[in-house]
Amino acid sequence: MIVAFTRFDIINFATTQVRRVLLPLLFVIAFGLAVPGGGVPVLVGATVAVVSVSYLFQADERGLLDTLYATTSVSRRDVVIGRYLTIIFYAIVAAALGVVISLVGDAIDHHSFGWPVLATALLGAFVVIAVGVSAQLPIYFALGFTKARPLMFIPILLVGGVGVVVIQFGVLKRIGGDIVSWTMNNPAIDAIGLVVGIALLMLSASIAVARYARREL
Amino acid sequence: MTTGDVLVSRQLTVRRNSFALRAVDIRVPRGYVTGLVGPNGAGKTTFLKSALGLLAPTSGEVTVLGHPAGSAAVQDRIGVVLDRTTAAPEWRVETIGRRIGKLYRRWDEQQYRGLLDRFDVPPRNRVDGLSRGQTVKLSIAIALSHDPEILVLDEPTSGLDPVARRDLADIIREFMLDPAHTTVFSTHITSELDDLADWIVVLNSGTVVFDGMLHELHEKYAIVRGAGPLPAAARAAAIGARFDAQGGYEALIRVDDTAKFGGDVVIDGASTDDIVVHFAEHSHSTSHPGSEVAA
Repeated sequence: MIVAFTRFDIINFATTQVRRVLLPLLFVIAFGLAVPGGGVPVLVGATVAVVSVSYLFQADERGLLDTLYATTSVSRRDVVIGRYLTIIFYAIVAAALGVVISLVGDAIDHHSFGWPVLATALLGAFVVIAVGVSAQLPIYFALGFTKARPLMFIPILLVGGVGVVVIQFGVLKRIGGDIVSWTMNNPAIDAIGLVVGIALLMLSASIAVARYARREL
Repeated sequence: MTTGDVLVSRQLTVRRNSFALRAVDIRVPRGYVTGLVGPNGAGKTTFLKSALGLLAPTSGEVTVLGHPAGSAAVQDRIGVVLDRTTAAPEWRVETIGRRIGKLYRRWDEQQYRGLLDRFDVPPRNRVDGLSRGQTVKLSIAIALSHDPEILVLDEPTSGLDPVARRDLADIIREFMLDPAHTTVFSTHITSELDDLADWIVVLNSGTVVFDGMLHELHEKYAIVRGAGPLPAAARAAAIGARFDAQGGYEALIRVDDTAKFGGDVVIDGASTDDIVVHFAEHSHSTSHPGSEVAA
């Protein structure tokens, strides 16, 4: 039933929350065209997808859909895994859009396209997705949208705060290029990033399954 | 005659904030309409949530059709109607079957559309555009479209007008034409039970006060009214006694205790409402709620 649930979840998200699905994607396009270069739109796509996670849980709560799922043939475990797949699917769509916008942006600027940079951006996007999804979903599954939402501001504020410091003090300019070139010159980093990201997602999903199994619906 | 119990709780205890369902043993026989009755806060919804696997018990267990409550193997054999519809407000009624049908193993889209038509639920409306009565009927259409053996309804008549309540009773009666079917519903409107229920479970303050055939409930309890003071010997037998300004009293009693009140009293049959109200008053007036529970 995981496939059935994921299909339901994706269609439900896309058809009942059209604005919440499209606006982040439009933001990826606008950002990518406004700030062309490399794989930045890919990272932006992954980030907006991760931020959009809450909309799915909000919709569950508004329609008592958690209760609906629990009274169908879908087990709670299938709901959790299906929801991870939905979000990963959406993140892939957003990141793929970022790739397209990167290509278009570079073509407009007549730059030669930097595939190694894009590959690094894709790895970065995967890490953003893996960390963002792994951190949020167990909390949403354990507490539900209303109780979990305030907690979600903490990591967002932390990431935002780090971002402000990095930009304010020019850290990104000083070491950003070094990180990209170091990553590109060490293919093992890609493999490690993938393995760690997948392990993180699996650990997160197992915690979410355990927590959701005990939640009152 | 029953051919087994479809739903059984053994020593089920659920603690939630200040409320507790205390080690309740409840059985729901196959082929019967079972009414769960009790005042607000008696534990009706908590019991049903436990039976549907929506709430994990603190201790004890609930089995449904021989499986642990909430197991995926049994969930699609239960049709569920809760006090709120489990559907997104944006969904159009006619698309719900296509959306959620794949989440059930035995969804029948034709049946769903037929029920919408029969219940006069406008298919083009959004869920948030339906009246309370239409919402309940939509929930029933969803519940009956995957061929359930058990229909569970939690306060389904709450907020319904008399016509809609009668329609709902007709739907339940029609569902019960199949002898393999069972209905369990909770209500605090006890007048509904007399027309519909065969088996009754009376809950009060998280304990089971009575569990049996509806006619046995009425045979077991009576209302006693006396003009004078309540005899000391009968005080313990009076459940939820009320006193008037003239010193008279009214109480619920077990029929077996009638002799304790002497000959100078009036004994009347107790309605389900009388029984629920007096047990509720009794638990409020004692420091050990539920201590008068029938042995």
